[in-house]
Formats: sequence, structure tokens, C-alpha cells
Amino acid sequence: MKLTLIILFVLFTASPSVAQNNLQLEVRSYREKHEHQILKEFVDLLSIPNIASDLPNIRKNAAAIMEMMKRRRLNPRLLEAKSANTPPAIYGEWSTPGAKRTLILYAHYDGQPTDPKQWTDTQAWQPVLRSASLEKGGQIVPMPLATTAMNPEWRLYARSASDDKAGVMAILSAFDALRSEDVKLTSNLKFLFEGEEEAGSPHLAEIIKLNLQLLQADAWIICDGPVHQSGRKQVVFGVRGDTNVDVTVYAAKRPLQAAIMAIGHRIRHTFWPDSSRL
Amino acid sequence: MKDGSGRVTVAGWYDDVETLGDAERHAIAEAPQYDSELKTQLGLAEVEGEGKSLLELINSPSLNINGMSSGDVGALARNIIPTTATAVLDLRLVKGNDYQRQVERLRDHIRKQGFYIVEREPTPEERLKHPLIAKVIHRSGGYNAERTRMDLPISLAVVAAVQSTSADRIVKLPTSGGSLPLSIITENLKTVTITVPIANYDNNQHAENENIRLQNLWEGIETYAALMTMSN
Repeated sequence: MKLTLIILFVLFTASPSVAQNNLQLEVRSYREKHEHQILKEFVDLLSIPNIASDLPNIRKNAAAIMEMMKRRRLNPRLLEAKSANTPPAIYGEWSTPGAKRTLILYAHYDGQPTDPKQWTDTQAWQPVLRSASLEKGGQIVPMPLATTAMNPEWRLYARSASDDKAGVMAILSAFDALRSEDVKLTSNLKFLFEGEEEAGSPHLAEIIKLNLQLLQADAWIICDGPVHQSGRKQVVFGVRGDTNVDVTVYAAKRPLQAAIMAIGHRIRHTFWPDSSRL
Repeated sequence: MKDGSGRVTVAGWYDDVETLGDAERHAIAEAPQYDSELKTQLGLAEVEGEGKSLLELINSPSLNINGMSSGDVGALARNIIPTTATAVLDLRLVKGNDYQRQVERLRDHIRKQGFYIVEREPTPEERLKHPLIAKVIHRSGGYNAERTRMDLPISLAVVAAVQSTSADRIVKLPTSGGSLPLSIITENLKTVTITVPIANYDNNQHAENENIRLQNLWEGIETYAALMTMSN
């Protein structure tokens, strides 16, 4: 009796994690079989320059992502702002019969501006693999043939390899794995890939307001940023707000020869009123 | 504007802060602390905050100087009193703060120090009339903080899904130190946001030589597959 109870207890408590582990193994097995294909698709996307202000190239990125999503039958469309010269967001969707919850999976496809001269040996939009990080002496390794095994410690170097085309790639590849292994989804999925996050998302509100119904969801899952520095995965529930203020204080209208302490007094008075430091 | 421990002395600076719930405080206590390692990496003998940890402190609004300019230094240095001094201030905000209101408090503080405040260059008449003048310009592009409660059903489901893909205990952070305009999403759509990152910590994002470790991409695929199939 006691033993039966223990077994029941173990079965009951263990079953969710066993199911998840099976799912993880299925996804891993899909990825292992398709990792060359995933890498190729990723390298192609990373080869397109993606600074938000570089509109011709931003549109090439958007077109490439549209194609990636069409291949997955995600019914993609460009969400354009009314303001001129705005990078479009790309929207896609997958409805799951019977699902009561809708998730939006968000990533951004634009990247930070960069000085090409500061990259070591390679260029921002010419992706290369290295055997390890540059700081640890990583050497360039040739792009692997389909028959060459890939070392998971290799690093792919390119602008937005992490921030944030990795988000686009991980989300779309996860979807591929689940469809290919015929795993049941539990939510309606919407996809939103923004094109000017690194410029401060100046038109995200406008694009959202133009598409209020389309972008309804129970939650937005944001795929952006690094895991914890210990290497452990993390979930982050908030971000800080930010605003900037310029403060200028004035002395004489034209520069005076030294010895008049007015300006020093004013600076001190403004920033360190309780301090005797200048 | 700050006392010796780094606490901001502007009146009301901390008044609107929404206090953390039990789940949030518990998550901070549980998260790995890297403060002493960071101090070494950054070459700092002492940090502000009255001994509180970085993870606690990022749940308080901050006030920092991003840059200052007055006169010349180096080769152009000479014996003059500069005509102006300018500082760019950075206000980081947490849940409960309103960015406009926080800037108003800053203005009031400067006024209380005896300054006459303008939002353009002072006129010759103003200069003759007011001994202390400060031009205060609130830059465009400010936004509020965003924080999703960790005890919502969707929050618990996301944590369980991500945890199911990892043998190590995952880290849960009520807020990150960084800023993103996620409030644009929540204010317009009345929804919540939860961030699930995948990149390696040493990815050089924003800098040259940005990279991703392949294993992080592979694990990210597993993380997102778990999110797409998480329990209701």
C-alpha cells in the first residue's frame, strides 16, 4: 500500500517534467539533424546590413524575413508606419485550434551602428565562425560542409548575431522543430519582428496603434539580451524607464581671466550643494 | 543632488516607487550576486548604495551624470574662467515613476538651490537680474519603466517552461538594469511583457566583434519550443 502510494506520488509529480524532457529531446534531435540548414539560413540573414537608418538594406532584411516566414506558412505581412522612412515591422501568425491563449513572440532585426575598422580581421556583415571567442584566442573555422560536425562551442561573428537576429532565428527554428515533430502547440502564436529597436523604437507606438486588433495578445514574449553571466538561463520581468536632461549654468557672457570663482561656485552649488568640494 | 552614500536628495525622488512583492523579493534573494566580482572587473574601491546589492539598487530610481563639459583641457587648456558648464543627466526610472513628474522634481530642486530656470539661452536682461541661471532641457524620447508581476499565471507558466529545459536553476529578475520602451507595448495593448533572453553573456552586443556561441542558439531553440507548448 505504502509502496503503491509512493509510486503514484512519483508518477504524478514526475510526469510534467518527463513530458517536457521528451519535448526537449525531440526538439534537440530535430536541431541536430538540421543544424547546417539553420546555420545557412542564419548566415544569409546576417549578411544583410541592418542599421535602422539604412532603409534600402533594412527593406532587404524585411523581404528576407518575409520569405523565411512564407516558407513556414506564417501568413506574413509588413506593418508599415504612416511616417515616411520608417523600417517596417514584420508580422506573422499561426492559429492553434482550441487554444485559449495568444502569445506574441517578439525580436528585432535591426542592429547597432558599427565602425567596420574596429572589427578584428572580418566585417560586421560577413559572418564567420571561430573556434572560440576572440578573447580566448578563437581562430576562424571554414563554414562547415553538410557532412562536417559542428562544435557547439564555436561562435558565429556578425552584427546582430546575438542582438537580435538570434531572436528571429531561435523563434522560427523552434516553430520548425515543433511542426516537424508534430508536437501540439498550446497557444495561438503571433510573431512580431521590429526594424528600429536600436534606434529607440520611435515608431513602435504608431505601428501598434495602426494594428491594435492584430497585435492583441495575452503576453508578449521578448527574445532579446543575454542569459545570466553565470551561463544560467534567465527570465526578466521588467526594464527600467529612462529619460535625459541637459543642465547648463552660466557665468560671465565672455571668458574672463582666471581668479573669479563664480562658475565654480555655480557648478558646485547645482550638483553638490552640501559639499565643500569644488 | 546626492548625499555621501549616493542617495538622491531631490525631494520626492523615491516617493512613487511601487514596492516589490514577495515573489520579486524572493527572486532577488535567490539570484546569484556578482557585486564583488564586478567591483574587481570595474576597478572600483567603493560603490554607492549603503551596502545594498546591485540587484536591489536597480529597483530604485537613479540620477547620474552621463557627461560634463566646460572650458578646455589638454592642449587647449588656458587661464580663463569658462562662460558655461553643461551636464547631461540620466534618470533611470522604476515601476511607479512617471518620467515627466520625475523631471519636474529635478527642476524644483534646481529652483530651490536659488536658480532661475530657462529653457533657452537666457536674455541679457535675465542675466543682469538673476545671479544664478540654469538652462534645463528635457530631451525627447523618455519613457516609463515596465514590470510584470511574477505571480501572474502567465509568469509562472513561462518560468516553468524555461526551467523545464534546464538542469540548472534558472535566474528570475524582477527588472533588468537596462532600459527598453516596453511600456509602449503594455500601455497601448493592455498586455504584459516577459523577456526570455538566449544570447551568451559575453556576446559584445552593440560593440565590434559581436558574436553568438552556437550552443546558446541551440538552447534558445529549445527554450522557445518549450514556450510555444507551455501549459495553460
